[in-house]
This record gives sequence, structure tokens and C-alpha cells, in this order.
Amino acid sequence: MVNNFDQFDSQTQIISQKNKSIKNSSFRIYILLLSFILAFLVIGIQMILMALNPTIIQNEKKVVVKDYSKRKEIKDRNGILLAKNIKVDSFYAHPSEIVDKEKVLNSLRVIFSEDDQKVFRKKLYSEKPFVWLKKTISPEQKILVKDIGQPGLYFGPRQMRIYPNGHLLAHTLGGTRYGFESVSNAEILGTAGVELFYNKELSDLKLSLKELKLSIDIKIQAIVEEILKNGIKLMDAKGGSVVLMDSRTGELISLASFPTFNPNLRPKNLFKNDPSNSPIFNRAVQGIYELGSVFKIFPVALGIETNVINPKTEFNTHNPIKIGGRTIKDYKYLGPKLSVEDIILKSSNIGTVRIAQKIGSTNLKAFYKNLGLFDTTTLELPETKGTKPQKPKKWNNLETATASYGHGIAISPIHLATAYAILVNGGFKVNPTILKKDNSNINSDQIISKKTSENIRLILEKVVSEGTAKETNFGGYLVGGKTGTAEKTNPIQGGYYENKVISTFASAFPISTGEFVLVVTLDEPENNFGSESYRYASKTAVPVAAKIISRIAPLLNLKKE
Amino acid sequence: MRIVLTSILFVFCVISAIWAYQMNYETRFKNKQIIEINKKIKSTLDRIDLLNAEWAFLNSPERLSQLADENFLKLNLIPLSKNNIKYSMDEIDNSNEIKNGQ
Repeated sequence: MVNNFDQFDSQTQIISQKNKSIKNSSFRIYILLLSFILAFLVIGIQMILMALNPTIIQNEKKVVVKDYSKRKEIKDRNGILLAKNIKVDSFYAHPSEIVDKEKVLNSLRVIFSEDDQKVFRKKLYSEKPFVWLKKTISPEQKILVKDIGQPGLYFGPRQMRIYPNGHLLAHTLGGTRYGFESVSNAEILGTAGVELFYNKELSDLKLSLKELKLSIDIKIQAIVEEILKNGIKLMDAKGGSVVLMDSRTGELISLASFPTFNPNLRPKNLFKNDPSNSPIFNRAVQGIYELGSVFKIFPVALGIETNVINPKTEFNTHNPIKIGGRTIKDYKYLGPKLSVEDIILKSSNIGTVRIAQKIGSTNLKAFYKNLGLFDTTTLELPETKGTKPQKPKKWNNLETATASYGHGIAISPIHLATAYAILVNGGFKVNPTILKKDNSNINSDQIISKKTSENIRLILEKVVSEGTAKETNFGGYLVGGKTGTAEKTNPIQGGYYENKVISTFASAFPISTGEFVLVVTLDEPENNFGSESYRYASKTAVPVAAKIISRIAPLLNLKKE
Repeated sequence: MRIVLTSILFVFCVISAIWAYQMNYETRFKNKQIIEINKKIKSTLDRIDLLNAEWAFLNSPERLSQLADENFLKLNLIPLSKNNIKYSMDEIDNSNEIKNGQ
């Protein structure tokens, strides 16, 4: 009985244990079910949310590939394209994959020039697994190469910088080269000009700049370059430059230097010992010359500004002046006495030196500094940085005298244009710029007064109507300016060449307002049309400037007067 | 009661599975389409770039002046002078009247 009871007891125990474990496991199952349902709900809700609002998805990481293809465009002041990227192809090969190398070479001979042939042969027979055959090829060439039908020849996308206007504005635009290169991409880097100066702005897509808008008007640039080129040919000159500036804003409407080059195929600098002979040398910006008589207007401007002289004041020009062992004389005897006006009109060295002596050397030096003749300009070209004007180290009586008529100081045509702009625009300081400016940003530092500026314009107008430039026809537009003919310095023997000159015409038009300043500089010109040959600016630089003004004035919306 | 709940959940489960499956393939399809369209956009942009460059080349001042010189007689052109330039409609009307008068 006890046993039975025991049995019963143990049975109930087992049953209660079973019940307990069933309870336990069903509880676990419920937990599992609940967690599954929860998980499904979470995923389902997430999916529904995603379907309703797609912006949630954009948490994926984006792979950043540097895109060199978007180098920004360069345009002129009217939005005409000057530089742009286009897509071309690069051509490379895996030599080990090519089955019939001779057949490939024979086919390539037809497609590419004979010069490439040797290079191709060497590359295809090299041990390298990978060789570049051509950095850029045209779409037509690509099709022809594909038609060869041999394995191992590949193409990669490549961006190419093109300058649709060819050699126009070459020095200012500069050029580009490839930096880092891979099969799928290549970095384009500026090598000179604005391409180098604004390399970061042009290539960095994060910067807000959309395109680079220059102050240049390409239509005017085309006319200027054509006339400059023809003028240099006619005058048998070595080279020359033209600067056309808006005298109020300092914007350069045209900037030309000859000889020139094509930025699409920028030549290497082959003239190591004399860079100024190279076509890539920018004479307007990098060329530092003693420009001579064009300086004479500066002491006159300062004299009138400080009331030391007025246009009618007379100076003795009878005898040459001796200073510091040097004799300063005129190119011919100009008369016993000349008024300030006539000193400029007839370009008298003696008269100018007398004016400078009356003003004093400290004042003259300070004025030259204010006109920006001693410092590098702020022009946005990398070439300006290495171009510092040359000035005398000491500034004694002799240096003051020679500086008054433009000797002993060497500046670039840009410097000269800037100084003339200040003199004729009403006396405001301007900084030369290659970028298009809003008229609102006019610098208002006054260097000379409006009244003085007006006097200067009247004197410059007389030079053209009665003085050294009077024989020239400016196409009916009223122009004012000053000529300058300076002997070139001889870098080898020192001193000056006797028969090599830099002839310059610095002018402003229309002279009633002095809105535009034009500086024409010719290097070693010689006018052989008459019975004798002339080197004077009035027979060389002035006719070139006259032709330019009569052609471009209509494009600048100027009325004849 | 339990059967009803289970069957509702089961049906819900099947429907959402079908929906997810469809959505998955639709997304892949759309992705492919996007890639293709992007490719097309890029090649069209490249083409626009090329055409713009060609347009700029065809309109380069030197080329135009050369063409003008070549066809100077054919087009009855006359050299530009300051007398050809008028600054207002009045001036143009006046010059026409003079011509007509003659």
C-alpha cells in the first residue's frame, strides 16, 4: 500500500513536472513568436516608411572620385567662349596581348603621322605590360583604330582643354598640361596666364565660381592683334605690344604681344638665354623697357597739380644742361624759350629737366610711386610677379633729371597704361585687372585733381593735333597722346644701342573724357617708306595706334567728334 | 479565435512577402534605368560641350573676318567707316530720307 501510495505520489510528481515543463516551453514559444512579430513589424514599418519617403534611403556612402572633367570655362566680357574642356579619347595598349604587332604598326602608320611611327614601334616591342600610345586622339582616329580589329589596343576617356580662337589672346590665356594621369582620367593643370593664376578656382568644383569672365573683348582683341602683326611686319620690328585699358575701372579690353603662339600647342621655352625672344614672352606684361619721352607728361602733371607751373609757364631751353658729368640736350635746337605746353609738344628734354628741377626730386619720386611706377602691378597674371620695374638705387640730381624724361627707369607697358589712365580719368587711382568688373567698385583715391587731369588731356590733345603726332589720321576720332622713342639698353656692353629703339605711343581717346587708354610699343621698328628711314615713334608706333583706334572706336560705341 | 488570428497573420505575411519581392525587383530595374539615363545625360552633355566648342571655333573672329574678306564682292560689302555707324533710330531714319530724296 505504501508502495502504491508511493507510486501514485511519484506519478503525480511526474505529471506536475511535465505540466511545469510544458508551461515553461510554451512560454518560451510565445516569447519567440513575439520577438519574431516584433522584428517583422520593425522591418515592415521601416519598409513602408522608406516606400512612402525615399529620402531616408540616402544614407549610403558615396564613393568620391575626383572628377577632372569639369574644369570651368573662360569667357570674354561678352560671354564669348575662350577656353573649354571637351571629351576626347586617350589611346593605350597592353603589348603582351597583341598578336600581330607588325600588322598593328602598319595599320597605325596610315592613321597617325610618320613621326609617331618610331615611338609606336619602340613602345609596342617594350617589355612593359602597359604603354601610352597617344595622349589624345580624335573620334575619327578612334574609329579607324577600332577597325584594325586587333586585341590589346584600348581607349580611355580623356578631357582636353581647347582654345577655339587659336592664337588670339594666347599670352593672357597661357595654356594647360596634364598632371596626374590614369586610364580613366587625367588632371589638367594651368601652365601660364590666367589658366595658372586661377588654376585652383577653375578646377575646384566646390568653389562657387561658375566660369571665369575676363575683361577682354575678343572681337577687339582680334582687330588689335591683326593690326599689330601687320604693323610689325611693315615696320620691320622685332616685336611689339598693345595695351587697351578702360581708364576708369582699370579693365584691360585688349592685351596683345607679338610674336605670339597657339595655346592649343603651347611651345616649350626654347630661348633659355634670352627669354624675351621667345613667342611665349608677354611683352606687355613681362617686358621691362626704358620708355623715354612718354614720361615727360608726369613731371608736368605734378607741376600743374602743385601749382608750381601752369601750361603757359616758360622755361629756358637755349643751352644744354650739364648734371653730374652728363650733358642733356634736345634732339635738335628747339628755340630759346618754350612754354610747358610746347615742351611736351616738341618733346624737349631740356625743358622737362628744368620742370623736374623746379618740382624737386623728393616730390617727383613720391609722385612716380603714387602712379605705381615702382611696384609690380596687381594684374592677375602669374607673369607680373617676377616683373619688378627697374629704378635708380640712388636718387640724386642726375637721376631726377633722366627720370623726368623716361631714362634710368624701366617699366612694362602695363605700368605705363595704368599711369596714363590715372592722369586722364580725372585723377583716380586705378589698378589694372584682367577680370570683368562692376562699375560700382571704382577706386576713389585721388592722385591728381580733376582740374589737372583736364589740363593734361588738353596738352595731350595738342600733341596729336599740333605736335609730334600731327601727321596722322585717327579716322575722325579725337585722340590725345605722347610719343616716346628710347634707345635700347645694351645688356652686353652697357650703355645704349645707337640704332635700336623702343618706340612707344601712349594715348587716350576720346580725349574729351579720356575713357580709354591705348599704349602701343614697338621693339626695334624702322619705317622705310619715305626717302629715308625713320625710327621715331611718330612714324612707327603712332600710325599703328591710329589704325587701331579708327578700327575699334566704333566697336567701343564711340561717336565721331 | 486562434485560427482566425493565425490565418490573418499568415495572409499578411504572404502579402508583405510578395510586396517586398516586387519592390526589390522594381528597385533594381529603376536603378538600371537611372544608370542608363545618367549615361545618356553625360554623353548628351559631352555632345553639347563639343558642339559649343565647334560653334565657338566657327565663330572665331579671325575665321569670320577671313570669310568676309573672301566673299567681299559677292556680298556687295563696303569697308566699315565712321559714317556707317548710327547711334539712334532717328539718325537711321534721317539718313534713309536723304537717300530717298536723292
